[in-house]
Amino acid sequence: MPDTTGVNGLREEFRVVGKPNLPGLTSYAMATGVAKYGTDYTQPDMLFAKILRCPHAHARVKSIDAEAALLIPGVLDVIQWDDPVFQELGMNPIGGFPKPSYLNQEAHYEGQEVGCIVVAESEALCEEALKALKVEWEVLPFITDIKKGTDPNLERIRGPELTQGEAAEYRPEAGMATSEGYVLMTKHYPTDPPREANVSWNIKVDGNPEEGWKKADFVLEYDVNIPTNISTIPNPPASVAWWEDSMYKGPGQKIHIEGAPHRRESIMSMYHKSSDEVVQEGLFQGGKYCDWGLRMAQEVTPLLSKRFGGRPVRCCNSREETFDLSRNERHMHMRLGVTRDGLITVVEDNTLVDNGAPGSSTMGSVSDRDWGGYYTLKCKDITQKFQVVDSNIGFMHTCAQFVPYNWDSITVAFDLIAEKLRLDPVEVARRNLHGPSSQDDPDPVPSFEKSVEVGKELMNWDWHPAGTKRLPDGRLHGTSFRYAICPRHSFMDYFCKLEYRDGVVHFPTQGPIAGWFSTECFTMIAAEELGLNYEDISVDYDYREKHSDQAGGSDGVTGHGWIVKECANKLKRKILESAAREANRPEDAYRGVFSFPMPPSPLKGCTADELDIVEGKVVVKADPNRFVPFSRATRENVTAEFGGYSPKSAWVTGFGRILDTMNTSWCEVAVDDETGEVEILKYIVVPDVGKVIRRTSLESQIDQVVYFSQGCQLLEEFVQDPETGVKLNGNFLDYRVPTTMDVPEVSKEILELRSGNGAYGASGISHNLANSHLIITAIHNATGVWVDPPATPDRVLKALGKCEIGGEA
Amino acid sequence: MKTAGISLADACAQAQARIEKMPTRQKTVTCPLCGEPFLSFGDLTAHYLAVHPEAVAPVEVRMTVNGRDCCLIIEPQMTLKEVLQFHLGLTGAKQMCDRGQCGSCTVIMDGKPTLSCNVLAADCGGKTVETVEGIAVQPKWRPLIDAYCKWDAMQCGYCTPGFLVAAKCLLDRNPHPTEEDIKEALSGNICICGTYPRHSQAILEAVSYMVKGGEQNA
Amino acid sequence: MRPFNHLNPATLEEAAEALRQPGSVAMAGGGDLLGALKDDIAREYPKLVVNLKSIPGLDRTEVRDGALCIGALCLLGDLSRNELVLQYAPMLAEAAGKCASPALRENSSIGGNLCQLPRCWYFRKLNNRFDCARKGGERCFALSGDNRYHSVFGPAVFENCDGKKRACIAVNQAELAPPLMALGAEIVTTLRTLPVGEFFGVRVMSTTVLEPGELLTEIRIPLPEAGTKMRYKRFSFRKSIDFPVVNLAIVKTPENEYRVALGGVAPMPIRAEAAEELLRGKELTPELAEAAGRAAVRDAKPTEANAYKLQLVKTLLKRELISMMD
Repeated sequence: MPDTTGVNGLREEFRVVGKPNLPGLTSYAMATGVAKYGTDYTQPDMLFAKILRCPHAHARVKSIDAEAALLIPGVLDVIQWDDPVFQELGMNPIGGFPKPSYLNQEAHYEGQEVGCIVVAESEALCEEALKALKVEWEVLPFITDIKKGTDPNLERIRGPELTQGEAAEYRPEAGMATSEGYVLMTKHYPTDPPREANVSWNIKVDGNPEEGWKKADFVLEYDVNIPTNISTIPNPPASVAWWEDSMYKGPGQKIHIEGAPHRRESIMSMYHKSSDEVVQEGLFQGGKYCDWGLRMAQEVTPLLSKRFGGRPVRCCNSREETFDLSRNERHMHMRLGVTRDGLITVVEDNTLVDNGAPGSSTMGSVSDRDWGGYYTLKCKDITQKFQVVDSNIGFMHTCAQFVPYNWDSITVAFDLIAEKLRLDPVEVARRNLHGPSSQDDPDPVPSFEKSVEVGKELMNWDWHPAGTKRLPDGRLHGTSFRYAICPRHSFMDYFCKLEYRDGVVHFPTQGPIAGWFSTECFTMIAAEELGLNYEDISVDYDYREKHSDQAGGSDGVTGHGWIVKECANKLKRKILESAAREANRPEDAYRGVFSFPMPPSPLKGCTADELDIVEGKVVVKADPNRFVPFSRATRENVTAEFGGYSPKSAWVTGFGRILDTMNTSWCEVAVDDETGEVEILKYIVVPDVGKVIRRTSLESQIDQVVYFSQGCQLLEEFVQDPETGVKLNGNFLDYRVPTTMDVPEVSKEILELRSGNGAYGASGISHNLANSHLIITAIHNATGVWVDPPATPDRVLKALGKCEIGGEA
Repeated sequence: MKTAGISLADACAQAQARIEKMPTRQKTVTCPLCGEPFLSFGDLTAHYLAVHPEAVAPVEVRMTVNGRDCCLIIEPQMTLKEVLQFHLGLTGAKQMCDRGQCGSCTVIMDGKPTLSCNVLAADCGGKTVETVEGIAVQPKWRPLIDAYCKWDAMQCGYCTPGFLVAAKCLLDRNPHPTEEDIKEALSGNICICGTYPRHSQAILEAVSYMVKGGEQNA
Repeated sequence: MRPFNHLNPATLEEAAEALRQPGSVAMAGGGDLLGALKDDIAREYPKLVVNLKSIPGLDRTEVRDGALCIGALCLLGDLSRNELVLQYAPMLAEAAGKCASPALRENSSIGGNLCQLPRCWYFRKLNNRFDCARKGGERCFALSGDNRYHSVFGPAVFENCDGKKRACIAVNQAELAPPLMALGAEIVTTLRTLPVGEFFGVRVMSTTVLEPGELLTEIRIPLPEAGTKMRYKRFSFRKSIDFPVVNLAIVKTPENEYRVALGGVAPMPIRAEAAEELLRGKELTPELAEAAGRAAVRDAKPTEANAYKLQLVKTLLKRELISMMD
């Protein structure tokens, strides 16, 4: 069985890793409300700021008359886009797409920051000031319907400097650093058709599609439609900043900013400050699932504060003002060549996708074409044609939790092939999935086989063709299945530092972060490797530390965890070396005038190799009765650092072709064809996570992804007015995130086959259960019709032909 | 027992300190528009009439927050949530939607769960308000907080205080809830981190612990 | 929220006097109004908010003169647990207990529920982005826009402040209106007593016929005779924190008189008269129930986006009637 390389990758006995019910390091602070998030900060004598938002889908500010606003008592300033102060700002290296100026004159979606910032003594007065502004708008043509946006006769909605191709080159997250090097994920090919009006192309061909078509017995043609979804960060991003005196650089030279967690480097870069000049102590942050971009309200507060002599300034966003995209709209028109045996011979993916507003990350649009579902197939002839449409729908900050989307087109393909051939979709999947050694390897990895076996049993899997089964209560019954690989984030360059100081192991880290208990996992791994308990490690929060645990969910944690494991072993080795050195010092070594003669160390005569750390003691391996307490192992300060990549995955056939740990998800629904209601009867997840590090948080991440996927398939819908492009449901009432009463029980059977590339063969899970079509496919299996997500009752009824206009039907 | 990170006792002590630090009375009253200090609310009102006749003048409200009598000079449009944060320095009621649609700002007012973003502080004269900090300082509820933390009934932790307050309200009314009761009682609280089943688990465990504790005491 | 002045009146008279002044607005629980103020949806921002909760005596529930009398400030949560309501109008308790979300129910009043402004997303868009007919403007943006949640019985035509005829396709979202209509309730204001069906209206920035300074004080429900059956059903996309897209209430007397009221389908809560007519005097059968469902939507004029509501009304009414069969 493949396990990971490195020290103790094959460890069998675990004392700390996998242990349940260890409270999180900051959980008590969070539960009791004393943990401060960005929006929680208040300072004495604090000013408030708000940024003007564009009421049109696309418009340019021609002029702003702020006279009346400035006459309101308590309104201090209206800073317009052309104010020279903005030129002082440097570039934000993350998401720092070059802009004509920091605050633009032109807004590319309704609600975008534009034109000016108001500063006043209270938030209410900021709102009064915004209301009192006389803004002259030049309303510009817009695109919020991307299908219509492909019309070559439409006017261009953005300047040539803001096309998607260039965006990809500027944005670091458009590429990925991997153990195989840095891969730019959105390369334009010389053969790509030229941009036409608002459309650019990105075409990737693998293999020889013509050959693939020749091998096919029939052609399967279908559409997978995926709507826009919203990034619902719990605390609307906001910051409070003020200026402090610096002991070294002088009065008022130090920025204190709270509410821009884990982007201190961005603030340093924007304000041309060194590390000791930017203070940010509170790092609590509401769950930013794949949304790491700073909002203007987080970046600009130091600038505003400076204008008022360093007085604290709070710049806040409302919920509606943070309705940014978590997923770009996409329409995949698929053509597959398939044999009579259900084998896919050729894939043609014609994707029409929203490019988002200028500066949007390409992670949600085109950058997923190099990895994911298609590359798990035996089929080698794959064409992916991306037609990318500039739009005024919204801004994509970092990435979508759903990428890559080709898992969804594959899920639907298996269902359709199953339907046509009257073959179990699980069998269709098995026939198409290649094995670990190459794309010609016919045997799926053990991870897949085991997951399928367990999943089938939990489901009482008994597939039936679409629309053929009713439950005793009269509702239609449907099932669905999908598979995916687990690891996603273990591609990054990670770092860890551990210190043994004054008898205690210290783990210095930037601090708590949005919701995946990664510091806890790392602490558990370090304790495991050092022969200590979880509580023995002192986790030292310091915002200036290099170590940050923001690398994405449980899958990032495992890759990072491997680094921590290696670092812990490096520290252990150094502690033992130091202990041996100290134990073997000559007795007459000069210890200072106040030192009394010491008895010989119990470890005397041993080399580091002969020592071990066991249950809080440094012991002689050969004679465990000879020991010193770990707290007195050595009087030296011992530091270990380790950085780099976690090892290469066990079963990998190239970039984006990783199969090491797999998961299956299964869904069973009941559809009321008279009301359009869909009830999830079962939602089963069987992930091979490699190795469980921290069970409760891992399970919660599974729930998070499933609820998110369920919300996007059954409830959540982003609606813009067709006439104006203005969003109509920018709030938590009309944009329906699931409540406790809406979510299904997610049954999980977690497998630990230890073939991932993280610590102990762990791979994590998070993203890879995210899907847009598992429930949709089950609804198809129940009803025989396809309902585009979200399958709200109105859409289900419409798809069932039960919405005839006219009374008595 | 040694705890890694911030312990229950640490957190509760912090909550206690926050409550003690609440400025329940303002010794000097500063004009929110021009920063001029006054000795009384009456003087401030007179100042508004004289200097800011067009502006909305502050009002005085008395309420009990976490057991402490507060006399607050506030602007009439301020919500209870804003007053708790900006006047009293309490961070337990969180702002997520600010429209009464998510439950993160839940507090207890006169014994009932209340969305503090959806209530004007000026309407709260004579009311008794309890926030999550006020719950945290009562030993009776420590098992609930403890169970929340042992079962990870939180991930990012932002919505958690709102859930905890709603859970406490439920247990006040119904000390032996079923899982269905819990789902229903928490159905006004939005969490996007996938913690919903964890709350039931934590609350049920806390209930069983609290029942046992009760028996031992009796 | 932008600033406004605030008044805690001690009496109805004091409140009424304040509310007769232009630029003042009444607030009960505040759940509806505060959202509207935060989003600044109206043409005019109020100068004064009058808190009705400071007036004593408006939150009683009692049986008086053969009627269940509910004070306008009774809170939905209290109503859902009130023994008198559970005894005489259990479907009202059920309806109140399913509104909004648990915490909102504890601070929202029945009066506020009946008087709430439309939920139309054009009407509610912040900063009066769509200056629609209900704000005093000319157009109904939902008529040609996204009207999936709007009226399936066509727009209401009403006269705006200048006496011009305007249309509005927003539905009335007063969730307790259908049960009160089916129960034959009366609305008592500071000036008059009205059958609940006549209380609602389509006006600029209002969903009732209340005049400036006129306040809703009480709801009176005649005690149902023994053997009366009632059903309430709401259908929402989300199971909590959501308004129903359709809700309905049915009362069936021992003499087989039926009162069927529908919410969420028209600019005002309506009685399904054609269905009532069809049912009158008859014992229920599945066929009759289905026919009644069809009759309830016979005169509907849905749009392509909201025709699903007809299917919902047909199905839900049919199913509820079947559940009432002996």
